[in-house]
Amino acid sequence: MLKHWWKILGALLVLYTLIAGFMIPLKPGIQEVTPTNAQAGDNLSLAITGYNSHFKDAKEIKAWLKYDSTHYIVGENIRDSTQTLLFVDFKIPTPLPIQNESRRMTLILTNEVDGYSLLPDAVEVVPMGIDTIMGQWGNTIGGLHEVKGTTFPYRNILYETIRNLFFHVPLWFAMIILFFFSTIYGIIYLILGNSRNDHMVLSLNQVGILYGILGLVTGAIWANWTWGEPWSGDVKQNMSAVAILVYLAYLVLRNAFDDYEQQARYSAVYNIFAFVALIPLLFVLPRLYDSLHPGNGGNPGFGGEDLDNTMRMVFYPAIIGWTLLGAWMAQLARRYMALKHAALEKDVDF
Amino acid sequence: MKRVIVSGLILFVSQSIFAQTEQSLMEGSGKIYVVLATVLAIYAGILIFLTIIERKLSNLERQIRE
Repeated sequence: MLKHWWKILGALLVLYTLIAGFMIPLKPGIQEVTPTNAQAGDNLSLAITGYNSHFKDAKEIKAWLKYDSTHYIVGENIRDSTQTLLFVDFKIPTPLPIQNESRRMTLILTNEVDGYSLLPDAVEVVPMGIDTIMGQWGNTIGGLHEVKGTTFPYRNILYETIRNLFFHVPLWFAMIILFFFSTIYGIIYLILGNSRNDHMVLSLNQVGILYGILGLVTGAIWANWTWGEPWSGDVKQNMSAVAILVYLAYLVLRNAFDDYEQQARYSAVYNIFAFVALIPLLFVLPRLYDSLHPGNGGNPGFGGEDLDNTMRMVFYPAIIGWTLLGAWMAQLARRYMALKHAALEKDVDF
Repeated sequence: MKRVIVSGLILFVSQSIFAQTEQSLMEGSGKIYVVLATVLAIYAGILIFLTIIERKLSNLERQIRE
């Protein structure tokens, strides 16, 4: 039992990931508003649809439309209809601060139950020819509510699928860790020999390839309902597919030799080159081009907005958990190989 | 071969179940079913891996016994 501690740990961490990843709610946010355009001078009555919001419970709701950092319109006559539906009137002043320029204004909403939330580009306002002065520009806003709680960030388009960060992304991290260790064992095999090290390489690569394929599949599922299509030819999608092919070639290469020693030696050398190719494919090339993936096209990897502290508490255990689970699967595969190898040496007929 | 047929069948059945309600189910409830589909895909992948090892082991056991 004691020597299996890491398998238990891996299973527990994945279980924790599943429970926490599904149970922790999303932070309240603004799903949509109607109408999405208005004319300067309008008395705009905005219907706001909230997500996980508590408009009925909230006592002090405040709303603003932000034109720029010094021009705000204060929402008036706030009526909640349900927990997730709110009506707010905005008297849009005319002329606009920058005349004859239509602009998308950001909606800012705050209440003491949900905290504050933003909807960028919520309402597009177009200028009107005649100046009828009504309403007023405020130049600051105040009294935003900060609510502390264990929640995941709310993102439009993503919604609940932000939870896929605990299932899709750790597969890739775990794959890279497994491939890294397979490279180490490959080098050890080249120095010391011993079929056990070769079996380590093969089994870790098998599980790594499984994780890679699962990463592609889960990515395609996620992309289908957020980016609009399962495969959009995104640079990171393409490069990771190439990386998987590079490792699939490792399996093909092994079968190209009849002699076991040759098989193990040549594939161990190829394995090093495969890992060397993996780094630019996954970490360098996607950064040089625009990508739909966060952390590419010159952006830093995990910005504070994309991965907050609550998500870290699930994300990092998820990486460790999936890696240990992968190591367990690799160990099973390796033990099978060792059995077969031993049987072969004792001249068991196959 | 049997495995290919079975996985093809599973794919076909799940496709036809999802086909009618796909849009409303996957887009609704904050797209939570996209996350469920992701987890099920991983689960299926692990099961396939285990099945392959299982079959290989069974073959080896049989060969050693003979």
